[in-house]
Amino acid sequence: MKRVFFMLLLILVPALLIAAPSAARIMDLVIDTQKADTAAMDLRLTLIEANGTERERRIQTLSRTIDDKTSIITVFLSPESVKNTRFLSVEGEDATDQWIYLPALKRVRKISASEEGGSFMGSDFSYSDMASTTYDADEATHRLIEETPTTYVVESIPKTVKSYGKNIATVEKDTYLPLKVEFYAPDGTTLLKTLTTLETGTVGTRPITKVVEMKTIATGHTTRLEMLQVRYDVPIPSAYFTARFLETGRL
Amino acid sequence: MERRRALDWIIISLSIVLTALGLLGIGWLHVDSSTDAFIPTHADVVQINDRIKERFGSLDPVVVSIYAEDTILQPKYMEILKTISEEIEELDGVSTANSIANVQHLEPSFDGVEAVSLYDGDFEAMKNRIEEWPSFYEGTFLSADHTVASVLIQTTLDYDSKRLLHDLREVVAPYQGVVETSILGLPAVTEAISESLLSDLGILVPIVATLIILILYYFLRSFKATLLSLVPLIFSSSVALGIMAVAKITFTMATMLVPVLLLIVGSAYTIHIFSHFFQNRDTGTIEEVLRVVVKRNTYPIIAAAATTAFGFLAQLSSPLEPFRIFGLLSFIGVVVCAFSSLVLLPALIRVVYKQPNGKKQMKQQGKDSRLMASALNVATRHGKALLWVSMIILVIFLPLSYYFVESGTNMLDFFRPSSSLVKDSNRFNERMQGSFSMTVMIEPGEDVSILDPSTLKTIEAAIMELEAQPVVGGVQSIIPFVKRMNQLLGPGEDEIIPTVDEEVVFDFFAFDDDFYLGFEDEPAQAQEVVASAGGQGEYEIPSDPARYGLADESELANLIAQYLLLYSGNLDMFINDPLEPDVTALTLVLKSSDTNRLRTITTLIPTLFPEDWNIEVGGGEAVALALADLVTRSQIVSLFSSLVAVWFLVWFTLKSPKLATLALIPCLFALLAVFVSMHVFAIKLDIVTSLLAALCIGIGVDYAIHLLSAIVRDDMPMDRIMQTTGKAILANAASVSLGFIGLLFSRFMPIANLGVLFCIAMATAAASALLLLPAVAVHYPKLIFTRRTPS
Repeated sequence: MKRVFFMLLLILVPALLIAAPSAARIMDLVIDTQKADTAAMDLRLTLIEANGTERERRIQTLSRTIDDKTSIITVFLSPESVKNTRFLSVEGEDATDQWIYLPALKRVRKISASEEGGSFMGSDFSYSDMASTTYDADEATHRLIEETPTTYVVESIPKTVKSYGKNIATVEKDTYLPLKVEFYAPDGTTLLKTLTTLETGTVGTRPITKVVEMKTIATGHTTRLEMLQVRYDVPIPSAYFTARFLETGRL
Repeated sequence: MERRRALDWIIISLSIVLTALGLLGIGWLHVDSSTDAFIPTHADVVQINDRIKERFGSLDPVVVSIYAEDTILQPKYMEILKTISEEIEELDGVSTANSIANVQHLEPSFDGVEAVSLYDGDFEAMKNRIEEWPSFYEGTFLSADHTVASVLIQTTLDYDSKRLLHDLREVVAPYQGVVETSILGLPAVTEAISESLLSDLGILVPIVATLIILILYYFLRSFKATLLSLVPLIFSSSVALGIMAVAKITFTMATMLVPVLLLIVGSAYTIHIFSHFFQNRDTGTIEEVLRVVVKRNTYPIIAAAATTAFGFLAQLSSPLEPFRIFGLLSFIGVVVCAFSSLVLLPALIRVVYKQPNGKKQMKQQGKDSRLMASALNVATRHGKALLWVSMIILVIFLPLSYYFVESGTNMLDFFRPSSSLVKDSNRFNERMQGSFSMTVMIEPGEDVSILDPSTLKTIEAAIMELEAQPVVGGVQSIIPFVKRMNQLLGPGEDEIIPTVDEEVVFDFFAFDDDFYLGFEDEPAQAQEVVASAGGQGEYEIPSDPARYGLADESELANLIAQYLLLYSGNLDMFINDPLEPDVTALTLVLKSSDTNRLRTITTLIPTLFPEDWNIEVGGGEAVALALADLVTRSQIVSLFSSLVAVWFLVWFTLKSPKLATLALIPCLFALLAVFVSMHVFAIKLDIVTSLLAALCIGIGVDYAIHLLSAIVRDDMPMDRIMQTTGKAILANAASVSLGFIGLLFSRFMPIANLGVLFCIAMATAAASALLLLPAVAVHYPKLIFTRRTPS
């Protein structure tokens, strides 16, 4: 769950920034400017089959980051079958604890599992894949492969290859928003997915990507992710990120 | 004279150039050995497979297995399996590669569920985990006796099978000698055929050519003549290969037969030219003798070639494209062969033979003479009885024998039982669920949810029925995952479902107040975690709402959707959406691909579900089954087409519909012999043997034409006809049969079977022509002689 949130932050949250020529510096700035202590998001995912059939998902997330440790609550609003199913993810020193609240059983179970490689709600987004979109200077070798009057194109080759062998990100100079990211297989040549920003906007002074689309090349399957509402840096107490709160909605 | 010689050299040079170009074309041939190459793209099964692939990904699983003499569950084997699994996962074209060395195991914990590695170095724990969920692990990942372990590879849709299989062999190569390994699955079988197809041609052509040389030498008694006779055969075969390369015709198991067939069929034409050349060698100069020989043989050769060519051309009526191409290529090849026998061969003779100094050829064959005398004796003395009994046998047994012919197009059956691929498959199928598969796609309809307990129960009942079939090793579906999640997350037997008066609905944007995010209470200190232990539920599909504290089935369906949410996209080979699926897929793992057994299964499948559900059966074995049906249809269509085509052609040649009908009798007996032999030797009608019917008619009718022509000419007594034309027929049948015997050396069973069956067909066609047609002439002359009685 943490990774979902991280991914969402990565894609949707704005960057303000001043020009910075080095590739590593550009990517560091993309990450740095996306940081927020707390955030609440209301998101719609539209899963689009290759034949055009669409399915809709709606989730809300609430997150808080302290000392680089993130806690997230994710609530499913639709489809109806999973409405009000809730996930809690609390990042600790050594591991991330996760709980699920099943409304049909009205109970909470703890889950110890890593979903890094799995697809998020059947969409084209996955946790680890999206997390690797923008590595910081230590995680990958970055190279500025192209610069246009409005964008930087940065190639990032991760030092530890997991799902991807290479990413190429097109970053807007003015905002440091990722306009396009290409995800390549571990062989570094086969294009697996592309992430495209369809619409940008601002929240206060903060530029954000409001609508993005992730396409899986092999299947032609696409997922459109729209940010319907967002709030940043709202004060949220620790008690929200507990299993009790997850189950009862009470503190 | 000089002009003639110059023309000869032009013909010879042109032929050499065309032959060389044709042979060079071999390098450009596009080989496709899969049954997919035979199935029309508009066939139902192709459409179904496309729909299944669109929703559930690749249908071609590949399985890499390791075999141990004792248990696999020990460090040395598990480390090998782990390394292999990891390396395979990194290969291009691999979507997932799962084995007991890398698969995640879900187990209960004191406060919920824990996903752990099935294999973490602790073998006792691993055994316990496998025992917790044996139906999931055993038969798929691990054999029940733990001596075989498999890496199940799901390929990407656009993978390069040749490259993947090469990479897989590289991955397992370092462990040869330490463990036995196998690579199985439809792509492995297809590739093995592809690799063998051209090399098989490389073996068959020299063998058949050697046999043809022996036959030619037997009849011509001259090395020079033998070698020259081969030239038109090589020329026409090369032209056929060249056309395939230039026209980018896919080289399939059917089209690969064309060059071999031309070598065999064409030898009769060159023998005719040379034997007549030698017979008349003393009657004039080379040019004069050849002019007479060519003139005299043009009509017989063209007539024989026409019937053979039209027999092949009847394949154009086949619903299978490779058969149509086979028919067209063979037609062209036979025409080229006949033409080159009449043009190229005389040119060669004129250039090579300075003067008519050929040896006496055509060894007198005492045995043949006695055989012909005996045949005539039988036809004369017992002709009537023979004819009536023959007709009764034909009428009763021809349809009956055809009825009992089984069709089967499974590609593994193409290999000899001694081949490593067949051995590996058998060994795997004995200990694991199976190496063949079929996919059933189930769409219950708009108003029915896949996750409704009643829907899942219907599917479960169907699976139980299917698993009761001996050929079905197992059925993979969403059901075990639903049951396992219910066992892990569901309520215990006596666990009381806590009720909450009013469900709190989280909505972080319901109010404007940033701080509380819609919650009324002031935040207080965090309290204890209230998660309860996992693993208390039953291993079942939750179907009793009361048992789960729920109101109705729809709430149970919601519960199942909430279970599956945890699996995220990991179930996409079984359901098209983890939360609200409307289509689900079952993978039937099969121990055998026997056509009859598969047909039983595919007939059974739709009966297991409500009538208004949409059930589609796809996958590699479904293609094989559909192909078997098409091959049968193709056989029937091309059989009748060739009968009609040849009948009209013979009518045109002999100018009598009655004679045309009589001419088909030996062909029908040849077919009867083929069908009976197929039943006796358990040879199936497949993509190669189904070509036999048209071949039998096209080539077999020549005997009847030659004999009837001689009888109708009425210029010599029947015993003389038998000693001349009859013996020639016998010689031709022997030579063609001997040529086809060469096909026994093919590494593909259908081609070897074709060789045997064709020998039987030609022997029967010759025997029935030599016995029955004289009998008709003797006892029912009116059927042959229309205007006057025979002398």
